[in-house]
Amino acid sequence: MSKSFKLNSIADKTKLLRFVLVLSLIFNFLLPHVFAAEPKITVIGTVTDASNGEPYPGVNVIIEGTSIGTITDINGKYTINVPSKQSVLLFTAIGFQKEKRQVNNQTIINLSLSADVQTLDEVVVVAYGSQKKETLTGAIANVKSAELLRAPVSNLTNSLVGRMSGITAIQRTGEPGGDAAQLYVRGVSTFGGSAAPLVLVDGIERSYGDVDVNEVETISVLKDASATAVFGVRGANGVVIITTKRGQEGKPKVSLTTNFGYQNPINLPKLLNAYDYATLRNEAAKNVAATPVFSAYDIERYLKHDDPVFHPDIDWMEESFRKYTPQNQHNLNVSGGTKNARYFVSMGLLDQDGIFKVGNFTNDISPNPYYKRYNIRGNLDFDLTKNFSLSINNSISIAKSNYAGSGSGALLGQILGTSPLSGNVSYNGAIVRETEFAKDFSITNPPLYQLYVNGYNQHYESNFKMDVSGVYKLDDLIKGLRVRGKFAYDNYYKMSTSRSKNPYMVTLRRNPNAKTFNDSIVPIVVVDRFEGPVTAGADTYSKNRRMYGELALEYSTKIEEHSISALALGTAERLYNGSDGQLPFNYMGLVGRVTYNYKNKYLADVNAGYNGSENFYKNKQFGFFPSFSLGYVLTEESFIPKNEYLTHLKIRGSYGLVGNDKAYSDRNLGRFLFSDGFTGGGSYYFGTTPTTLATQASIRENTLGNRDVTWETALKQNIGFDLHLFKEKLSLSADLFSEKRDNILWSLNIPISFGKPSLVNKYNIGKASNYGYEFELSFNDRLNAIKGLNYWLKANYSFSENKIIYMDESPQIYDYQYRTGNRIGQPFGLQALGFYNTPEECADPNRPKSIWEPPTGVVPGNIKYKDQNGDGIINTYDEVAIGYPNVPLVVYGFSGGFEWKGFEISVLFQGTGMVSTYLIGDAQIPFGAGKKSAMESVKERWTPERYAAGEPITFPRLIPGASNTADNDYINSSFWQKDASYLRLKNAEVAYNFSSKLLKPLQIKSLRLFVNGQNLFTWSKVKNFDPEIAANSGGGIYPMVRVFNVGANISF
Amino acid sequence: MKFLKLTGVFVIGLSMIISTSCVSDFLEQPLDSVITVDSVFNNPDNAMKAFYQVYSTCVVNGLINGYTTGDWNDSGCRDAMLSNVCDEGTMIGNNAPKKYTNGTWNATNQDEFDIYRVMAGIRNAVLYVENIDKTPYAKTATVDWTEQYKNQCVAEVKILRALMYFEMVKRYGGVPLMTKLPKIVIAKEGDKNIAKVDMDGTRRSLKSTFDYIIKDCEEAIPYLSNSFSAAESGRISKGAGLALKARTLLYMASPLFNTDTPYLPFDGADSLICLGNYDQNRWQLAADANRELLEWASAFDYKLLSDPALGPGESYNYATGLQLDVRNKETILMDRSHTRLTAGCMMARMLCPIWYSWGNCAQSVNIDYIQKMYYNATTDQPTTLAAEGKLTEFITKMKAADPRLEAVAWFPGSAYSKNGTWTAAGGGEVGKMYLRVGGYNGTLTNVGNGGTGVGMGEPAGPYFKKFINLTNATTAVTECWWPIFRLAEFYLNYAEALNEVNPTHPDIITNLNIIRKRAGLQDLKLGNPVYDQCFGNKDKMRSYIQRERAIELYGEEHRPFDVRRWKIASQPGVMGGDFNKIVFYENSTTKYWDASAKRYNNTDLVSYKIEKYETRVWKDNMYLYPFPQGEVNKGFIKQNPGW
Repeated sequence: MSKSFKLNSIADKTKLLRFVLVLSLIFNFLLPHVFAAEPKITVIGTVTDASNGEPYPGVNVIIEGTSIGTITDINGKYTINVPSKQSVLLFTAIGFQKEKRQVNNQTIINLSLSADVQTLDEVVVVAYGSQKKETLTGAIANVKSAELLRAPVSNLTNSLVGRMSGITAIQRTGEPGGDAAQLYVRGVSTFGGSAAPLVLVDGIERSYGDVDVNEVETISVLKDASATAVFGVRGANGVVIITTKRGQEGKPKVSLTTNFGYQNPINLPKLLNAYDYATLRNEAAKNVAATPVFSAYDIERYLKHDDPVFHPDIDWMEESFRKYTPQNQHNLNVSGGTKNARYFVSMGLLDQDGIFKVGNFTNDISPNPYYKRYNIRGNLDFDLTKNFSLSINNSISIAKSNYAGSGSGALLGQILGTSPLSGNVSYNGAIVRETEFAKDFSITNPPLYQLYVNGYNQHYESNFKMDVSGVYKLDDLIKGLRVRGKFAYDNYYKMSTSRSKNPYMVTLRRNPNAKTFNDSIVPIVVVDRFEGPVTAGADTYSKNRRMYGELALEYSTKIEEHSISALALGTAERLYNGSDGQLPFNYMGLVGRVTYNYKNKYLADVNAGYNGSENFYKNKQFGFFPSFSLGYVLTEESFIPKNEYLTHLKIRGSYGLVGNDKAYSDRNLGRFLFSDGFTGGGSYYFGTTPTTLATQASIRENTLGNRDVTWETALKQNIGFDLHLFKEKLSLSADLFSEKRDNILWSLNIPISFGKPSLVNKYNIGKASNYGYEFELSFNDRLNAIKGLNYWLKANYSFSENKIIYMDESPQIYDYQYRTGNRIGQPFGLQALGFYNTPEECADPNRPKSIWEPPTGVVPGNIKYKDQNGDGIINTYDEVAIGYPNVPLVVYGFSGGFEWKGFEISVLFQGTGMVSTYLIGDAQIPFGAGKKSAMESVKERWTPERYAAGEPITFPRLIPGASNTADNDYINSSFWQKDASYLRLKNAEVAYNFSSKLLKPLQIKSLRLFVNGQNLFTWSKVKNFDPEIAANSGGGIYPMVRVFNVGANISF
Repeated sequence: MKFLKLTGVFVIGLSMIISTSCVSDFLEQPLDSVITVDSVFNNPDNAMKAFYQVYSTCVVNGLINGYTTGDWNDSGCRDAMLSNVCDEGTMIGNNAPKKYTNGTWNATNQDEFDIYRVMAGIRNAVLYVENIDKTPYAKTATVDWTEQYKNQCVAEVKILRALMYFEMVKRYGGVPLMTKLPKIVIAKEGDKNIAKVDMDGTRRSLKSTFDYIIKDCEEAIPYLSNSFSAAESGRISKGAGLALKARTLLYMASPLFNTDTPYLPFDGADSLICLGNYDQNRWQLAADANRELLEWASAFDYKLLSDPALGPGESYNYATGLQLDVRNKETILMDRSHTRLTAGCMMARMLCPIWYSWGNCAQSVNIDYIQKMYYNATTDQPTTLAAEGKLTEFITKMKAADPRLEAVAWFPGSAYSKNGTWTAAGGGEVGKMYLRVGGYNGTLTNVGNGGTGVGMGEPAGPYFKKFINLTNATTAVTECWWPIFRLAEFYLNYAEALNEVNPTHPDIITNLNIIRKRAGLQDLKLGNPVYDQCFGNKDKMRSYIQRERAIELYGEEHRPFDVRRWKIASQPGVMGGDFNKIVFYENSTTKYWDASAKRYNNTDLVSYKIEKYETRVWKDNMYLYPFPQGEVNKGFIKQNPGW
């Protein structure tokens, strides 16, 4: 103890008293005992870390039942005065199992703490607070910092994948700064509004993609009604709560993490080379009785590669993408504090480069994407008086990003669609705009041209988030009562600039006077355009600011074996969305929660939210969302012996109502659906002189208000259990849930006689259901056979399936055409039955005729479809539900790893099931418009020879310039639908922790070196594209990237 | 002390309650953020805005002004005049209208008539009629709102609404009627919220639909104004009301509808597409109504434009192409949904064969139509061309035909515009043409004076030029408006109706002669072959009137509906059957066109040949249009037979 704590005077005594008061968070009502019991025995000891035997500083040592305590010093040593031999010392440290020791006659108590492998004492972040996992009755999954940091990802959302049950994170693209995953909690339950969950950062709805993973302490996913009801109109899609790290009392702990990684584009389309392209393009021409496009001479050149200008063979993937591009991420954080002031300060840097090969054709324009982000956070906690503590969270993220002016989508589309014959990328250092021969096979804007001419689009974003919260304990008034408040102000600003410039470009022409072959392959270079000045595009700005306040009364008490806690909380939020020129979005709500448990055995929670938003009509703005949950910990019962096999078994269930108002703030739908709206109307001209005709001002009906507009309601049920076995080595948690979503905002089947159907706003008529189950399993053990080998295995699996119950669908002729009764987002299409293989099949007068087949009828190699209604005609009436929606029904992950003598190895596999995708455009059609690229997969096309030889056939007969609305083979059908399920080695890591003995002389507390990777291997049936590609994409998508990363973490 | 603490808790509790009870402020939508129906009709100024909105949405517009540029573009059919879907013309270079003639027209590809736009217009009218009584009488800076003026405005709105229903009934037969402003009502059915429209969304009988139009007209006509100030010119006059009623009654009397046998069997729903009986009196009502309009027109100085300085052909040309010319007093109502068609407008791009900067389409006037309709001006005998002949013969026959031919068609040897300014771009007297150079199978080559001709392809020969031939060649601004009611129609209407009830009535001849006189033809009188053969013979006179109508109202969206209501669409060569083209070619290697001298060497070196161009498909279900399939799918509308 430091000098100032010695009891020299009355004043010092008071000082100590104050200090102890501040220290006491829960047990301060016991203070009188402190005075009553004079210290009698002094106990000393050393606490070590069981995993490596090193002394462990910062362990709390408290006399059980009092607030008297100390912490271990840098050498793991402590000294404490205890009142009696009966006293029990409680040793706690974050991340370690707590230990108890009765003093008895000992004066030296040494012990080692083991890493906390069990989760019972864990505190889980819940809505507006936290609860012990042991007494939790809701369905909540969470993941901690250490696990999140294993994935070298740039966007926080992508680190969630595979780590928890009940959350689906789909990453559609790998573009720097644009690679956030789409999140869903327990799948999709609505077809009207957004199905995205509410995401809170430190209790406030905020942007989260820009949060540095190093700042995150835990992420909780609240899944059932019990966990989410308090969020009322915003909670129905589940809630994700991101909680940032806070300082712990102790000496400054400096932690430096540095990551150097490489991104490597994966699952790129495999395109035909020039020779194959020319050969197959000729075949396609032959199939439509057109003249072959390429002569034998051309084909020979493509084979021999001896005329690189006029008979080029460009691998566009090779030409366009760098194989490896850097991605660096660094973080420095310092945390620590005294008893009454604690801090966590973090600085982060993310630097991610794009994958385009841009060359050096101009100086000032780089269209290659990049994303650089700087994060600074300062989380401060102050205990100002014994009853009053204050926390301040400040964070700022500043991002600078750069994109190709044409947009990566368009650019990738061009790259994908360009044939290998379209002409060289550059010639003698200049970009080639066009090559004479290639004219027919080049696209109007070759990729490099497109990349340069459209310049770049740069964004500067700053996102400032601040909140201040205070807690005032009112124990003096009523024991266990406290009031707390929070105010937050966030400010976001974005500036976008675009610039472009013409590079020097040439066109290559044939030499008409060439006499010899060698002359003929040398082009005449014609300047297409000279390098031009930089052209400034539009600069745009957007900004928003959010203000949030909450005020709460909390009460908790324990009367004998009855633990009761209660919360009453009011919130108000206002979001100004400056860029939209809109009125601010406002929310206001009251939250109530009562939890009760008896002997930690019988658990009951009541949660209720009463909240509203200005998006609804007067008197209909507020809704009440109650939920109830019960839990029963069987292992606390005397008749179920708690033994080393069965350590914990809890059954829990919940039932409640939550709302979703996400549809109503959607700009496409418009705000204030309840109001009628008139707006400026059309023109009509009056007068007699043609040149001076004048229109009169007019006003027109724009929307018809729907005064009944309300939020979606979700009636959710959940039943689950948590089971811990074998000395807490194995834990299993499983949940079964169902949900009925009602009041889904959906458009009505309005007849034309009403006027323009678009006048009518949507109404709350839709109904959908969702059900599913999920489980999480984890196993930890130490293998004594191999000394000190700790290993762990984890698995999670989630399934959810929804169904449209009602959507005021137009009457259909055939029952199978109804969307109602199917899954949300269920694809429809013709059912393909393979190919017509013989002329006899095609000539069969009884075969169904497709309305898309040519007048001359089908030929062998065309796709055969099922005539669902048996009318002899294949048309849109034969479309049935095919495959699965684009959001997977099944998501799962399994991971495992071990630690041994400082080595750590871990892997995470992750996958999805029951999901489909459908590619269109250049991703589907070879030789699009007769001249675009074709994939290698077309080699498995139908030809009479290949059919006769029994070779695998996965593609219909080739034709040039097919259309997916007019050509029989390319009509929307199950043939082109792909099973998009996949399994990935999402993440693997090998790390080495240097022993502290080695490090101690260097003044380093710990040093961890690691090598890890993301998206390392993918097993999928989707060819040429990443399986997570969005359905109905034409392939114009920035590729997914694999990341190889090395890094180090040093702490002082 | 304890009291103070309790007070503290109480204050905190109270502040929380207060913070949520001031929701009325926090969550309130600002009042000024929306305009409601009440704020529109609570003062005359705003009410007039709603009134003008009815004008801007109840539009009948047959000109091309851009298919994809907005809600209110009614362009005949896609980027083409409606003439192309009947025997009047053929589009060259734009296949969009072909679907109406090649048999692929169906319930999902109809792009000629936007029923959604029309219903929006009707709804605006109903909204106006239902709410206008809320508007207090007052004099404001812009309007003197009195009961009389209100009645007049309501009357105009009713005519506009009736006009929209007329546009529907002639295409679809009976349609749903918006008798009051429909609303959405939510009903609980079991555990479902079912949204219903509180109106009958099904089709009404053809008779109810026609009666509704007539009722609107009759209610409105007494309140309509006979004339307007220059600034208000363009509003619905009493004449427009009378004209709509007259035309509607003529349609009701016509064979397609005035029958107990629909054009196709329609299981139990005949009343949707025919009137259920033949009633001779319907012709009488039509004749009376048309006579009433003609009397009104003569009382208010409406007459056909016949200017000696222009001559007969150009008088007719100005009457349809320059509606706001001071000389033009024959337009009763025209479409004014645009000030004028701007430079580069679709009208010029898609139709003008010599539009010099862009555009790639043109419309031909069918050679069959010319031979069938445009008789020799002096002999009143058909203009018959031999299947093959010399260009000179062709030119001679064209020049001798009804002068209205040269006002609508531009053919080799004619001027694109007599007094317009297109000459500078190639419309000289011996105009441009597409010529097969080097013989009958030679290359199709654009020859002629001035800029590059567009409209490559066949059938070439006579090009359509009505409406656009007076376009300013420098700015390409087209000052033409769509004639909705042009006086000439009603002379023909009256004659047609009267012939059905009283074929010897002298008014038939009197009225037809008004048309013929302006056209530069001799009067019908004893000794004239038409008079001699037709007068008093109901059938022959009917045929003559039909032919006269085909010429006088060429291109004004009458023909496609006239041939339907007359029930002659199924006759070969009208809507279906073989259609011919005319090909011009150089006889020999001696160049007809001397490019260096920029002149024609010898007209006789060119021949023409008329040969089959295409076979058009007509099916009787086309007598009425299909409702859009999406609408039928909604379950309210019964589709017309055969679709």
